[in-house]
Amino acid sequence: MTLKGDLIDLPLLDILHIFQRDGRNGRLSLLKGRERAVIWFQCGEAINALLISDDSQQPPRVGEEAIFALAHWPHGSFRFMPLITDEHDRITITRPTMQLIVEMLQQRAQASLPHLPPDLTMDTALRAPLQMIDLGTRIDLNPMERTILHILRQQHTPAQIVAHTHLTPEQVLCAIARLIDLGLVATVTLADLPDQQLVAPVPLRTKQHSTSKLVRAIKRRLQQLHAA
Amino acid sequence: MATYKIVVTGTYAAGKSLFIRNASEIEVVETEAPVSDPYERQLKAYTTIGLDFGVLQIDKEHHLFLFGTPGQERFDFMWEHLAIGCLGYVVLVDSCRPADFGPTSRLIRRFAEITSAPFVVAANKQDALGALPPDYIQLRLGLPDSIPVLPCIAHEMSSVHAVLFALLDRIEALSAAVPEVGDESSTH
Repeated sequence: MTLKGDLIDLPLLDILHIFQRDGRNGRLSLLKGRERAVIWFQCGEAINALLISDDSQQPPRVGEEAIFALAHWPHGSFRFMPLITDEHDRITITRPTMQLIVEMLQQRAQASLPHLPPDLTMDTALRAPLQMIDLGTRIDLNPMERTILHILRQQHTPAQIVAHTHLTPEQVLCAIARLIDLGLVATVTLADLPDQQLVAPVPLRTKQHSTSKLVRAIKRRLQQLHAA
Repeated sequence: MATYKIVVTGTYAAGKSLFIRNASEIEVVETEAPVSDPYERQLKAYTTIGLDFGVLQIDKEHHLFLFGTPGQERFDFMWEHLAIGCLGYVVLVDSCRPADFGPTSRLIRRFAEITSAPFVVAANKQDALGALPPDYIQLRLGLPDSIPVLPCIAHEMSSVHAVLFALLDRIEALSAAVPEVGDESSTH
């Protein structure tokens, strides 16, 4: 099965990062209006890229130039076809993909003016995945953003960050908005679920067959089936 | 005979029917029909329109019913009937379709409104070469650390059992804090 979707759901930066981490081999095809592109991956490294347009005014772009142009696509469908054999015959990208990712992040960091996302409030739960914290150490962040990124190793709200630091709510929200823009921090939209799940439903509280006894019995049956 | 219920849910073509088929001890009761929507037909030819039903015989007197929900949101009126009174539920997500992450988040929230039963999230199709890693899927679903996303291959019985084991662990852990009370019937 192939991986397919839209860059709105899975941005190119995330794709490059995941493929690099997982050492993928294959061909990523992208399509946006009259523009088409292909990136070839070998052991997770982007080794060749081509971006062409039906518009005759626009010359084809290859290699890093194509990758950096694709990084600006806000949307566009993609399809990843894993390849077992070496289909690609050209290498137009010689720099490691991680360097390209860091450079893309730096470009975005310099270009982006922080604007508060509509759903960002003082009570929004946020988290920075570990691999993103690692990336954050390699791009240009100010000390305040770096501190907040470090705090967000674990899930926190802006209100909690304000309580833990000497920063004002405005400073914290602006820094978080920039970290979200950069893709280093994500909103934990379902953060309020665990508390609800701590209330066991009625059938679990029955005397007739206690929960732990029931769970053990089901597990035993599953083990029997597994062994069979 | 006392019966208990576990529900398997997820968006369209996440692999729910296959999951139940590999967990059930009986021939699964399926209510499948040819797909009418041209876009959805690209994903699979037949879809569950009512529910999938399987059984795990715990012992002579106790049975565990496995219910699979229809995946399309237009059938969400069925979810409530199926979810109420369940021991817990499994949310399946297709690891190769990032477009499904938003609908899956909505489905998780909707189920949490319907039932307070514990649940686990399983990233299905992890054997596919294009599959996204479970930790990334957890991030995109907006799930907190306390709800990890388990790797899953629904056509492998061992993988299905591993997901059910994880759900049972969660049911046990979360119910440990709740005192046993009364003499309510356990049949649902």
